[in-house]
Amino acid sequence: MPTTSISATKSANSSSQISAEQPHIFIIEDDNIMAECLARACQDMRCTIFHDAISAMATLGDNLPDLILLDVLLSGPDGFTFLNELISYPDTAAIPVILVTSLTLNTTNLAHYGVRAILFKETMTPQEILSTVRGILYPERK
Amino acid sequence: MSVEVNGILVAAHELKAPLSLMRQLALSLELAPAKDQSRIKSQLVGVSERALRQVNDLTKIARLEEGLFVMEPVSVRGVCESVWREISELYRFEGRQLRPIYANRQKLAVANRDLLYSVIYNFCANALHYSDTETASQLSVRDYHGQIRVSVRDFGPALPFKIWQNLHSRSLEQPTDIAMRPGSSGLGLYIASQFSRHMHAKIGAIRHRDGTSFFIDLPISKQASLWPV
Repeated sequence: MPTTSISATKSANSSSQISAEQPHIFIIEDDNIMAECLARACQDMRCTIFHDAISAMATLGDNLPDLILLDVLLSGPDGFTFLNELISYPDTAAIPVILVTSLTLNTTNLAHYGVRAILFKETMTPQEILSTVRGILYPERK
Repeated sequence: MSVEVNGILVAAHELKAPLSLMRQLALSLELAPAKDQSRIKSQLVGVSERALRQVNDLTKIARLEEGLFVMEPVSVRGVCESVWREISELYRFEGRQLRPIYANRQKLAVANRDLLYSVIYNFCANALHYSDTETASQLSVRDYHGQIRVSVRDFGPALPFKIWQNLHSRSLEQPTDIAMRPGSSGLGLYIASQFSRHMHAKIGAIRHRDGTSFFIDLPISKQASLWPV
């Protein structure tokens, strides 16, 4: 395996918009344009974009997000590898995950990995992304 | 599954990504603040052009035998510069860089300009997808054992050994299944393989610890009178 350099993370919102009360979302998606679309849909939330699983995992140690939006077919270790790593530690195992994918998957098989919902890239809309994220972050508002 | 059906499936799979992206960008457009709109429009154009190029390449494969793509002396640097100009914008959208390196003394190769353009474009598009952020991929042209070698080096996951072996043993006869490298159908490599075979050129890959170089070796044209001044 090659040495994979740690990707720089990029906040999708400017720092002036970020407050401690805002939910923090990790977006792990190797396509920068798709990652920007996801961040744009998560209005008023603090989003940090990672382009590979390794850099996201490295950051998780210091900074636990409220939710993770995870692409499956990443370059380097894929989304399933990341999920395996995530459930290996008690603090990260509790983080809810939404898969964002073109693959045909269902949540039933992936529930024990913390996967709470699946957004399909071909059909999702910005409204659906936002409502799915909010539905998991604020279940009481449903 | 027949080669033809498999090829159609792979092509369909490959086109899903840009189409999904274009749909998402179009939906974002109405929600985005005014300051982001021009960027989103540029992204839409860039992604659609990439998809169109793939469709064009697929139709070219079907027409290779019709004699439409004649071989002629081609300025390799000129082709590389055109590809670089077109694809740099996509690299910029993805927060990545492509650095051209020209170290060749021989200027002209025997090739078909359109096909060579597609081969180099596919290599660059592949490197864009597999480069880690904050690395600059390299598009280099140099002389190599009496030929001109154009290579594109990415800094990302290494090419799986099996695919590397296939590339060295023969041309790819069909797009491979989904997992050449994660998220790839290998369609770009298949296109490059078909076009290079038509040009009597050789493509290959070099595995590095921190990425892969894809290259095409082209025969040098002896028509010095056509060298650009």
